[in-house]
Amino acid sequence: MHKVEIGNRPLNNSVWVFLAGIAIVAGLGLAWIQGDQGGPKLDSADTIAITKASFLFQFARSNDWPQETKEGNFKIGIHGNRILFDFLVEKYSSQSIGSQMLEMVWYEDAEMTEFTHILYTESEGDDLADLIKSTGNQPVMVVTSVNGALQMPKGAVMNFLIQSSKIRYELDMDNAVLRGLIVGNRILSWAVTR
Amino acid sequence: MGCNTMNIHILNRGMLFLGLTLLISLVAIAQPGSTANLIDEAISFAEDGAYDNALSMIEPHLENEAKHDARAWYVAGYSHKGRYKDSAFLNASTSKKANTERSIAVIQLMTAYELDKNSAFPGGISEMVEEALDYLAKTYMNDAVKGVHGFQMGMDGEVMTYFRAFVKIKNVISPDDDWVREEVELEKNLAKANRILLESIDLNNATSLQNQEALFEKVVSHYLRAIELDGRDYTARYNLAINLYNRGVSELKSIDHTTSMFELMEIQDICVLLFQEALDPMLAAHNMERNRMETLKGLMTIYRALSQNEESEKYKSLLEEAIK
Repeated sequence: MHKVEIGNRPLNNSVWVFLAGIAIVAGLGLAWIQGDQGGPKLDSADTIAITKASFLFQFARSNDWPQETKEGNFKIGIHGNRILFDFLVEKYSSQSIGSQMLEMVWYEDAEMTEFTHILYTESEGDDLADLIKSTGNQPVMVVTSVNGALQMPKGAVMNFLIQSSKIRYELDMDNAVLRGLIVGNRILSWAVTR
Repeated sequence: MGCNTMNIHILNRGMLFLGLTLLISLVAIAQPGSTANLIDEAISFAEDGAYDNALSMIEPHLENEAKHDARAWYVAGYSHKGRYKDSAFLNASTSKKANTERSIAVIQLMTAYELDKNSAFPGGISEMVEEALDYLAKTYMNDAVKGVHGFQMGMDGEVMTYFRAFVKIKNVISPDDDWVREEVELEKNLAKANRILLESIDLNNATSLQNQEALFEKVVSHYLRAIELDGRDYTARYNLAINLYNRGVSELKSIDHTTSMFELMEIQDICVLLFQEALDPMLAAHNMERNRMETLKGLMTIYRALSQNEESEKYKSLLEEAIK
């Protein structure tokens, strides 16, 4: 008759592992459910504002302004989109354009109260007309965001529009020349037409 | 506590005693030098925990005279299982030695199970084999769970291997059970594990950028597999959509003063593609549960990122309704 000694093996080497296995497998369903609790959170950043801010920085960097505007800071004025303004400040305010430090200016009303090299607005209609009028003939690159109209807003140099869900821009070269702006080759080459 | 442990210990000993006594009684009529006698001696060694001796006695005969003997395969499998437990206790259940012992144990126990089922008197040792296989199956699942919890880059295959080994055994001993739900959850958890690593990566490192891409692909592929396995899984779709969308936003956020005009255009193309890819699973999730605020917000956000403002406004209104 055999002596059954196999059961005398240390508890932690057999039963322990076995029970631990059961416990883990039994709790598995709960563990998986808990796993899903920490799912990804939607990034609520304003992607349109980020994209437009990136374009405005490219416009500042790749175009040229008359010599008399090359003193003091290089200013980008924003009207009608606070998120875009805040993002520009956060991302680019420590940068320079040539020897000029970059400065963002926020316009509460549809009037350019101080000179800015670039003026971006989301206004349309009369508000836009008033704002453009306030720039006079100064070397201001007026950038608009009018997508629905048949043509570029009168007086704008650049206009953002949507093509195949992407933000693109159109350019009024005559207006740029009229304002004494020199449009860079890169900017020219990426401009779209309707 | 001590009393319970002692009871389990006694129970364990009792079960093993019964099992092995049954086995011994089956070979009691063995003639000296016969296969049955060899099995009898191997059992003695296994009982003493002398697995090496048991295996050196029985394994040479598994391809010859004991080839069709379920008990011989069981003793061999049992001994490898014993060696696996020893190795797992000393090192880790996923160490090379432990893994090898476990794999051999499974193969031999499965052979024993099949032979017993097809023998003239089926069921003689089935219960013991099932118990041993069930134990090994659980160790595989245990390793899969541990793999997810301590996940490191590139461990996906290893974790899935453990899970598949678990399912393979379970399909033999419990053929009516279905493990698809568990596989779906495993895929989702692997996606999550990869995402957490992805979010922890230092973006200012070229190698990290490559890793980032690889991790993102894994996140997507695990969710796609979960959806493939269960077409009605809401969270897999929602999480896939969010990951795709967030990836696009992350690309946009990578734009800075060093980005060229060409790169800006290129990044925008990538982003729009990712946003469009995010739309399908988010719409599918929304169609499953139309009043979930998270999907309404997701659709509102994705459509806005795609400059489809009318659609974005539509879901914004639905979200406002749902909040009321």
